[in-house]
Amino acid sequence: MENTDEIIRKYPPAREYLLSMLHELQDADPGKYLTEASLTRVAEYLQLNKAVIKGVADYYSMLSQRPRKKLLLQVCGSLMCHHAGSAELYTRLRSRYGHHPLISLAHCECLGQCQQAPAVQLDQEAFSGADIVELIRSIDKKTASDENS
Amino acid sequence: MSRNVSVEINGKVFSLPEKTNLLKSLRDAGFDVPGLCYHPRISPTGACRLCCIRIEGLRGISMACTLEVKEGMKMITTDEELENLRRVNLEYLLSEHKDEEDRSTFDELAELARQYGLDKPENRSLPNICDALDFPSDHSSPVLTYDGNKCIKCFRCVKACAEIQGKEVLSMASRGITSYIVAGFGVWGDSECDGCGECIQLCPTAAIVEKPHRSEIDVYNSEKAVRTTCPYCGVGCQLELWVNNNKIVRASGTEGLMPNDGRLCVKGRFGYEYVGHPDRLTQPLIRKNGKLEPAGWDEAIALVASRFGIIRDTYGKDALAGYASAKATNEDNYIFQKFIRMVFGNNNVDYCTRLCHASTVTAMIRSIGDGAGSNSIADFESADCLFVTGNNIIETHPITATYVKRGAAKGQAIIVVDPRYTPLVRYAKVWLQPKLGTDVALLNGLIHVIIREGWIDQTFIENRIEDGMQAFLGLKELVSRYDPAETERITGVPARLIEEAARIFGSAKNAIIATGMGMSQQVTGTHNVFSLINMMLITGQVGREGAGINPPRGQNNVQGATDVGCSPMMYPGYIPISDKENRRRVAALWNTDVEKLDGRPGLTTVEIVHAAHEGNIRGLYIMGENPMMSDPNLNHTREAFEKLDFLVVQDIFLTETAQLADVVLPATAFAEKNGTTVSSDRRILRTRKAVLPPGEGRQDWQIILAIAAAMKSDIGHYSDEAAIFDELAKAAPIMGGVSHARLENEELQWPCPTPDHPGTPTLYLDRFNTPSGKARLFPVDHAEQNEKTSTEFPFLLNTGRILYHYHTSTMSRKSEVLNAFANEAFVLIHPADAFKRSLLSGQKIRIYNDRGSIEAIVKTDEGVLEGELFMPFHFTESRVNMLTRDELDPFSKIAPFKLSAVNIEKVTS
Amino acid sequence: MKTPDAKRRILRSGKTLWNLADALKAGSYQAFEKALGKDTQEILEEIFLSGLRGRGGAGFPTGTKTKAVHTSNTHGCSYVVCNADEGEPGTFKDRILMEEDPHLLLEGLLIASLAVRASHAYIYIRGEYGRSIERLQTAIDEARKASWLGEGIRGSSFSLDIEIMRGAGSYLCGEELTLLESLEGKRGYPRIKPPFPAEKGLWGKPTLVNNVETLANLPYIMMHGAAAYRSLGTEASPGTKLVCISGDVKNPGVYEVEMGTPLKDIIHGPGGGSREGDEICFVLLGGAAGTFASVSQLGIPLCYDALRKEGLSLGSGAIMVFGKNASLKDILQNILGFFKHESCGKCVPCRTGTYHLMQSWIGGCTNNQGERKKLLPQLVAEARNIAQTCLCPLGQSPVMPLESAMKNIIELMD
Ligand SMILES: Cc1cc2nc3c(=O)[nH]c(=O)nc-3n(C[C@H](O)[C@H](O)[C@H](O)COP(=O)(O)O)c2cc1C
Ligand code: SF4
Ligand code: SF4
Ligand code: SF4
Ligand code: FES
Ligand code: FES
Repeated sequence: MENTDEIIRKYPPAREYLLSMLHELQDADPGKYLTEASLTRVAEYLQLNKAVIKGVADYYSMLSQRPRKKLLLQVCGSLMCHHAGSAELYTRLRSRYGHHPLISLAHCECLGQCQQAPAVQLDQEAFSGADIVELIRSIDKKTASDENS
Repeated sequence: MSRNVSVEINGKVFSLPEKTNLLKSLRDAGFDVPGLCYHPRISPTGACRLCCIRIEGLRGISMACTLEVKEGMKMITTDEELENLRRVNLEYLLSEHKDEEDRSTFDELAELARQYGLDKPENRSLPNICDALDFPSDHSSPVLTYDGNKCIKCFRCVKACAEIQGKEVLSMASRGITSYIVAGFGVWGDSECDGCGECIQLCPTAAIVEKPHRSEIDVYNSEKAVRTTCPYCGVGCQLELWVNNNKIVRASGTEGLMPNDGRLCVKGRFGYEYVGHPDRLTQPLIRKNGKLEPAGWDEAIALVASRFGIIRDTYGKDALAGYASAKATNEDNYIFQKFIRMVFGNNNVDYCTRLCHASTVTAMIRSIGDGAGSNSIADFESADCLFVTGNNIIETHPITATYVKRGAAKGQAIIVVDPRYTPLVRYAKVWLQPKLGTDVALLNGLIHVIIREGWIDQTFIENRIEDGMQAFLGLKELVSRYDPAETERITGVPARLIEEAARIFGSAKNAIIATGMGMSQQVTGTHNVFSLINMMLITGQVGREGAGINPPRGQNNVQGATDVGCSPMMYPGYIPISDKENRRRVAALWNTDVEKLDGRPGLTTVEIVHAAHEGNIRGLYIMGENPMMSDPNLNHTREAFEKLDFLVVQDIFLTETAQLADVVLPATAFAEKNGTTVSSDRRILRTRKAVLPPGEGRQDWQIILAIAAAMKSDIGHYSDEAAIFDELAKAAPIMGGVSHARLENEELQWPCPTPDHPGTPTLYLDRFNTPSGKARLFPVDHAEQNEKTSTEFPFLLNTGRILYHYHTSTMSRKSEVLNAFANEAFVLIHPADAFKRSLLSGQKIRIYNDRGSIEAIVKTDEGVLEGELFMPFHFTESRVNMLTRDELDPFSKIAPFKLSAVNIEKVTS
Repeated sequence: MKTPDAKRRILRSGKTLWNLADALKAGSYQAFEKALGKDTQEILEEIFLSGLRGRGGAGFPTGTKTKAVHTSNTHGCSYVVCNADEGEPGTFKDRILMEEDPHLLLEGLLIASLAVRASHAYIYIRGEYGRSIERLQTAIDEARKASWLGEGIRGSSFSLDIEIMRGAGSYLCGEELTLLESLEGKRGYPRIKPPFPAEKGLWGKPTLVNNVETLANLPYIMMHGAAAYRSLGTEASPGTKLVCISGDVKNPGVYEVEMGTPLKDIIHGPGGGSREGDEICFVLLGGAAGTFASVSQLGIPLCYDALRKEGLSLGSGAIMVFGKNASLKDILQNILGFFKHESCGKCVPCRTGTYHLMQSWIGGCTNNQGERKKLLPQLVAEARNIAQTCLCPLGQSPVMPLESAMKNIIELMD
């Protein structure tokens, strides 16, 4: 809660900062999602009703109201990536990370990396084509250090 | 009004009002253009795409609901392709919708489906996808249910809530095909929804339906729907009562009529249950051997007549008094005051107005001439500055508040003056939070800044204020010591905010003032309002359209009861009794001898109680009032009533007061009456009979006439309420031109002196209603309050109302819906005080002082100041008026409900 | 894959210039400084004469829009919004611009804001574009420190603040009016047009909404003048265009090409043609909301009007090339799935229609190829119905790929 308020108060109490607040709250949450408690605080801060905040959080596909794991691994399912075999890539990643304690796996729309399809995004970082190997290395590094700590 | 322009529709020329919504205009002109998401009371949405038409010069298909009428427009409203597109979209809608007949509501979708031959599933070409989508439902609200399977995502409910009621409690949730409506996080009952039901009224399908009586409503086979006026607050909302088997099963707002244009609040929509409640009084009761026993009317009337007669003969006519009713009609109240004046022969007639706005009215009459709001309700939306003081308008005048919120959405600057947080603060530019009892100082401080900055209206002062600049200089002299620093010292309001508020008010083009009980219910009530009026006058914010001062009235007919003469000083129409000429005029109308009309002012409410305590009042006739809840210092009131020789209470329930009576007479509720009431904006509104009274309940005026007759007095014969009104119109010049017949199709605000007068939306346009025609300044100084905190009683207790209950809650607490929202007495305390006293929200505490002691649940709330408490007065189990004082404002005789020193302690049980 | 330097308007040097020092060396902010010395009318006229057309997809003349905002700005309050929501599948030119040359965009925004007298500009950017956001933020901070942004820029009376606003995953929010709703912190629902943003945009104030690439053209126009700008491209589509080549080609990527260059020259030139052992079978132009072109149509020059005449679209500049192993069936399903997912749900035909389209196609996919060929026209008819009455351009989109597939490449249906 403390943390929630700190984040919220960084922004002026104006509705145009709602999406920015929600992004930041979600990233800061240990469950990487928007809890009802934090949505309520945002509602109070912006003097809006809860449904208005929920409506916005619901609309945007990057925002989640269900807990997720620490890292979000998204596989582009759009045209070019699909054509380049993203479905198979997804299956492979799922067998590798499907039950990983630190990774949530999801589909997403075109990541603007179509020149090297299929593309994958790990949190805010994009990987594509040949980088997939790099990705797996990077995931392993991130999760290993985390599992140790 | 907009001018008409010619447009071509399907090859023919029509004349339609320019710039109005095209779909609405087409429909008004008789074209049956379908459309489910449009509603004239909300902004166009363009969601259903059924109102498609073809406009020459515009590419493709257009939606009529998203366009305005323009000169020379040429359009086609129907052809094969358009009908086909409509059918396609209708099929789309039906494919995500579950068909289920629900006769409790008009289903516009079902109706259209029938029109397009799509009512039978076998005629449709698309598979139904409802089950696959698995839409949520929500049954958690006390007033309604939401069924996602019936929802066509037209946004009407969302906009009803946001645009009409200004609440924005609802939203569409999810996205795309799985969209649905949510309140809160998906649990309506946990949301901010306050149950006004506007969404129910606007939902075109059976997706949102009210809960109460749902199974008893059959819209296709309803007995009748009677248009009448809401029995609760002073807004005067117009509503329709749906009746089945002599039972009210639904109330819905009447669209297109002021003051509410279809809007209702939770009380108006769901508070009608009391009418048919089993606790209603059904026959007269007479106290026998200390107990109230049922009796016949003849016996009861005879007893009342003889006991009043004995008291009059033994102690003289001054030993009798009456309480009229802010909840009864004008007709009932007119007859009541006539009874007191002709039968009791004195002017001891008053009612609870003394307890709410008497000080306001006193100050207003002296300064500007009329004790009523100067504006129309719509001005609350159009003004560019609104100064709301001591008035929790969102909870106590919910529909007036909708205008305010709509104004705020358009950029109206709202200044809230309240020691306690009220929901309006959320919409306000500035919130001034003065310490209790420092309003005069605060207002003088604002006036100081306004004068210093030169924001005064000199022309107005010179032309419309008595003694012009000279009077102004007197005020200037007086406020000179209230510089912002000094004002901050007295009131606790930061000087910066005082400057800011003064700037907003002082530089506003059109400002409206709304003043409430926070101002009036103080020992300095009259002074508070004088000070407020001073500020208004020097800035010239009155005397023209869109500016002025308004005291929103608490009960449905507080305004009317005084208008029709239930005042110890005034005859109907604010005619002073003290003037012999006036008495002569009234005597002639009433067919009586002028000498029989007493020229001495009568006693006011609290004075009547004092007199009873002292043995000077011996008999009291109370019609539809419950002083045992609403009067201050209740223990004292009880003692006074117990000392009476004879107490008659005429009511619809066995109220706290009726329980003390010697005779109880069963009267009728609003839905059983014909008559009129007057709203806060002086609108004369019709009450119409929808159901029959239970048992032997009788009309109030008939009971009064029966008692008069039994006392061998002839106070008139009337065939019906319309006839009473006709006499009232003769007595009260302000209503001289009004009749029940005119009210059938006209909206009239008094003064309306002649049958061809259109009524008066704004007062004082040409002159003030004072003898000189000019307004008067009454400079007043801040005075320290007598009631102070001490170590023994360290808290100041403030009292007030909440949205869900009404006055003494005799009516509202009969409603399951209203009780579901609030059914427990509570007291608000600042978290810091709660911490000091180790109190947690939800704990029970005792609140006490020398006058009494009550218990309630404590709630911490940052909206009250430290050292102050707030408590609503509706709850009989915690009658906060046990603690309030009956010390009076010397001018208006109002009691200081807003300020009592108390202490608290935790109740350990 | 080289664009000759003489034909560069936007990809200035082909190098990354994301720190201020490098950007200044490449000439950043010189055009803006020049503009500071001109009066507003001159700037507006220069943009107008350049004939620049919006690069966000619609190709609306930028000069006309800028003038309209300027005219509506009677109360001294207007906004400039950069549309950096790049969500059209197959499009990634704006990302490259923002990552590699963010100061170019800032300079474009400065010029546009100067032209419409705005003192506040927003960059509404796709939430997923982490690196672009980072680089833009750095660029803004650097520019502010060096007084290229902020109060009284370069000692003039002109002030501008630029704020980055992150989108959160909605394709429709790239549509300008929806973008404004989203920017105001609301659900991404399109507004009813008219009024257009130039009249009533952000918070009801006149607002200029321009694509990243559009704005990136302004510095050149200011620096070298409209005539120089028009020396490339066609009469109706002057200048250059960034294209995003993806799919079964040797060198997928973003290239700057002259307007009017035939498609096949682009695909075979910078795109490098099909890979070893493959051949080009069809092309999807403009993304999911685009159109399918057959190989025989690739002689058409890349410009708004020539393509439109052929029933094709330039759109955002996506050129998605499909080779032998492409499955049209799958591609259509993917496209329909995309629209179903991205429909905001506000209006009936698109909300339910995109769902039914998808369902029917999935149903059809279990069937044989012949049935699918017959099903396609039915879907086209349904998509046409949707397009006729839906509220915003998203609902008008599914018909474009469906219809062009039916007309141009139905024989390739698998
Ligand atoms: C569904 C939809 C998505 C769009 N997405 C984008 C986008 O991501 N980026 C963009 O610049 N324009 C997009 N547009 C176009 C914008 O509505 C608008 O035309 C553009 O921002 C105008 O800028 P321009 O004149 O510079 O092209 C989209 C339009 C639609 C209908
Ligand atoms: S609940 Fe009713 S009013 Fe609200 S969107 Fe659904 S159908 Fe429309
Ligand atoms: S606002 Fe007042 S008059 Fe209107 S419905 Fe509510 S209680 Fe009744
Ligand atoms: S066409 Fe689609 S995206 Fe556009 S408003 Fe309608 S439902 Fe929303
Ligand atoms: S289609 Fe996957 S990144 Fe563009
Ligand atoms: S009534 Fe016009 S779109 Fe629904």
